[in-house]
Amino acid sequence: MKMETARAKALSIKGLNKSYRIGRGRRLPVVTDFNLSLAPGEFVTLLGPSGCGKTTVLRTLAGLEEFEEGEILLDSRSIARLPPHHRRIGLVFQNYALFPHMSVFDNVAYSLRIRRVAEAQIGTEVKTALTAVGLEDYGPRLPGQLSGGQQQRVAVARALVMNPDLLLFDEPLSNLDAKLRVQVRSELRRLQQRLGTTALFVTHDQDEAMSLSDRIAVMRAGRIEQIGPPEEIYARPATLFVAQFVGKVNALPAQVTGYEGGAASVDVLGQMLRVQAPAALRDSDVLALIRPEAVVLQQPGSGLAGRVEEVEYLGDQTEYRVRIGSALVTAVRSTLGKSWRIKEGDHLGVAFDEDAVHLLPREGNLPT
Amino acid sequence: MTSIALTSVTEKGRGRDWTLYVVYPAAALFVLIFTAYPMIDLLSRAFVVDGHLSLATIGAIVADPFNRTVFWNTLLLGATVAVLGTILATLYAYAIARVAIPGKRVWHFFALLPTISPPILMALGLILLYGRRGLITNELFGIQSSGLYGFKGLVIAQLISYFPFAYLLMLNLFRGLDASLEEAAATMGANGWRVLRTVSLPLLVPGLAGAALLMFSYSFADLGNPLLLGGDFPVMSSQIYQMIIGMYDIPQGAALAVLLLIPAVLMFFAHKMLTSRMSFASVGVKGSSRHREVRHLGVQAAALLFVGSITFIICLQYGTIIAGAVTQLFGVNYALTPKHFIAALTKSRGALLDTLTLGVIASFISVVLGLLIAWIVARTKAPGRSIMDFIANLPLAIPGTVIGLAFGLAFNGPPLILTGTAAIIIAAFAVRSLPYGIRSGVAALNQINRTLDEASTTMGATSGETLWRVLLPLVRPALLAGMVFSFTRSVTTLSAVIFVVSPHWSLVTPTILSQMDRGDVGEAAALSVIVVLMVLLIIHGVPRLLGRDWREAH
Ligand SMILES: Nc1ncnc2c1ncn2[C@@H]1O[C@H](COP(=O)(O)OP(=O)(O)OP(=O)(O)O)[C@@H](O)[C@H]1O
Ligand SMILES: [Mg+2]
Repeated sequence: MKMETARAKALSIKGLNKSYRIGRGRRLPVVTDFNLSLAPGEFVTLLGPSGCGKTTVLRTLAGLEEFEEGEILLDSRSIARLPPHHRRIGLVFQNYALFPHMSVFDNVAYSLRIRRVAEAQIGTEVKTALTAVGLEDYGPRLPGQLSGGQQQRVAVARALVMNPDLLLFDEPLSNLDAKLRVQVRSELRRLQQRLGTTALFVTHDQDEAMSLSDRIAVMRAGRIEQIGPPEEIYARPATLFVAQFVGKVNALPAQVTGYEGGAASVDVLGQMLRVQAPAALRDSDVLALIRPEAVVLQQPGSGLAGRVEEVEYLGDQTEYRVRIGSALVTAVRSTLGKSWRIKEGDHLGVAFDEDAVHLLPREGNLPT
Repeated sequence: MTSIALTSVTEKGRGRDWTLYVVYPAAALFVLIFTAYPMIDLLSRAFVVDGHLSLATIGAIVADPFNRTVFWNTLLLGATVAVLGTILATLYAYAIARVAIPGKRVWHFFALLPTISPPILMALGLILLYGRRGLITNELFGIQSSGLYGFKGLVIAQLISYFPFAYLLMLNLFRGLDASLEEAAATMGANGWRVLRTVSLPLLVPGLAGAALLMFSYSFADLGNPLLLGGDFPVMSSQIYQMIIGMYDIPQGAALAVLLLIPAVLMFFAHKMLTSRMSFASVGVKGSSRHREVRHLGVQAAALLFVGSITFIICLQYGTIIAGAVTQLFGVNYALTPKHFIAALTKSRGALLDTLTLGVIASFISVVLGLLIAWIVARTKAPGRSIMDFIANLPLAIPGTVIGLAFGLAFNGPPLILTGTAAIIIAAFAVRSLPYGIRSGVAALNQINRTLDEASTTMGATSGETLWRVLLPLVRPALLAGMVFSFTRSVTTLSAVIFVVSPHWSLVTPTILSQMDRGDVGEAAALSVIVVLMVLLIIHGVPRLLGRDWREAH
């Protein structure tokens, strides 16, 4: 792509606090003590439930919201006090925000015209950007004449063409159908990597976050609960909230009975497991987090005795709710290639895959 | 059990929609008698000579160079007021909607004051301030000039009277604009002015044109200001008045009215076409409409200065009227006296009470009828419903003077003689407010999901029962808001009623006009103050009693 791949910049947000005024003298804290650093060229996803403050963080970065405390640095330069039009931060809005009175071409060309780029160059740059999102023939159309997905891609092209220091995406794929979403998100990732632009991407779709990101920051009520690479977030969540937000999980109360060489011995519903865990968990009550795919279903007689209470067919996979004593455990098996059909009411044996068990202190992580 | 339920449903089904059979003819009859008939009657007076269709009367009117001057005067005045008024309104709305300035409630309140006052008050205030014995011209500068009378005075009076309507329109547009569009422009490097120029204003163009057309039509319809301030700059409405009241030349007056109708109707349809094209203002999902306020010191200062000056001018008008009401003879003797208020409350008590009573009755009729028509149009398949909608909405396009004249003429002879009755005044009020009644009815019905009717129908209710039991209770707040609006409109109009008042039923605005004519400035001022207070009381009192702001519905 011909757009100059300029110096990728590092972003660093320190101690950000932001609240909204609601009524007389009352303020609603929305972002609290928020810290986040992005390496140059890194792609980080903000993942969190609706209303946790994701949009607010992006708008604050873009300069569209004032905030009370904190510092925002691009490389080592503070941009916290700059007006939005001096920040060089591209934002793809949750609702696209395409100018309805301008053609697709003029929309994409907007930032270039503001920078007084020569018309000839604008022509080539807009064309490149539109080609990159697969809309090279749509220049003359008005946004109102495009489908939702096409509008979204125009919005992405419009942000890319300004070659910003930082790209912000506010759930840009939320209005696409499932198939197009997968396609556009991989295109997006490729574009970002080619340009090397640092990017912060907001979503509440965990699949999207997993597949796109170098790192994921899981937000909850205005704070970052955990930040790390997708595998870490999934396999070693810091809290039950994170574990539950990025997928289904069995959270089983358990007791650490021994600790040796960085691994704890835990009794989970009667099965003894050795699990990697920090020393702080020695002799404490814990929650054993076990993903459904780590629950192994066997012929009766081996492992823990269980009884199938519910079978849910999901197409490629089938989910089972298995009663083990007083606990109800969710297991999942690939639907294909299984000669053994499990039905409701069946008795069977259950075992947990030791390597996929993760322990959390029980305190502060009450199962819900 | 089942069979009983079934019979009762089918029985209701058989007597289906009796409401429609009653409501529809009643609404249709009203619209035909009070809108279609007077207008047809007026047209026939202008186009029928000795029982034949003829262009002779109109031809003679157009041939007269004086009439042509009057016609161009009207257009010139309308265009000037439209352009200047739109600019004022846009700046005012921008300052209120987008600039961080203190006291917005105050600026907003004073800007809206003229919308609830008879426009004739502007003429009164201007005459007291800048007239031959005006406070500013004469007392302050010792000028005995009549420079106020004519084009300049008219422009100023109409601007103050009517720019607030355009302001309200622009304010809603500024507030409704998708904030994320402006924010997107800002993140792409556009500064405040650039955002305004490349994004906000282009999106507002249809709205600006709408505001201009609104001002244009208000200027056409104005009668009070041209009568009092016109001087040697006659316009169509005042010319019609002179023709009818002064010379009793009814065919000429009717022909002039028809001539005035042409540009007014053209404007109206131009406006309609424009608004139907406004839809491009929203694409896809609408973003937030919370806008960041401009905090640039220079802009803030300029905005404050601007709204402050306009508010000052408006306050000066009202202050002068109050002063005129409490002094012996404004311009000559400034001794305080309660005599004008006493006179207004005794001599003009009839006019005040009649205005109040007839205004309330008419606003009730127009709102109820408006809802019924809205319901017929939106929720039934009654044949001819779109024609009914069209006719009922026509008064939006017709200047008040023309409607008033049509009423006065049509109901002055058989088959239906209403001259001198309260009915003719109520009908004139109601017909003029009906389009707004329909609009608030449509808005109210649109808020209600259609499935509600359908649910009610599946449970065996006729459409009439559905209207009565489900829809009416839900739309009551919107209806009350509509009533307050239509009451205000009725009380402040002069042009629509000047030809239909009678000794039995007098109204406030014509009374003020005749007091001014006689030179009873103090009494006119006192009566004006009372009317404005009365309307303010109703506007702020009624919704407060019901816990809702009347402006929400409009
Ligand atoms: N202008 C505002 N005034 C008051 N409260 C606001 C404002 N904007 C957002 N909020 C509140 O702040 C909180 C965070 O909002 P935000 O839009 O950042 O959430 P989000 O994480 O983007 O949610 P979603 O996934 O639904 O888009 C919410 O509780 C919201 O109600
Ligand atoms: Mg959001």
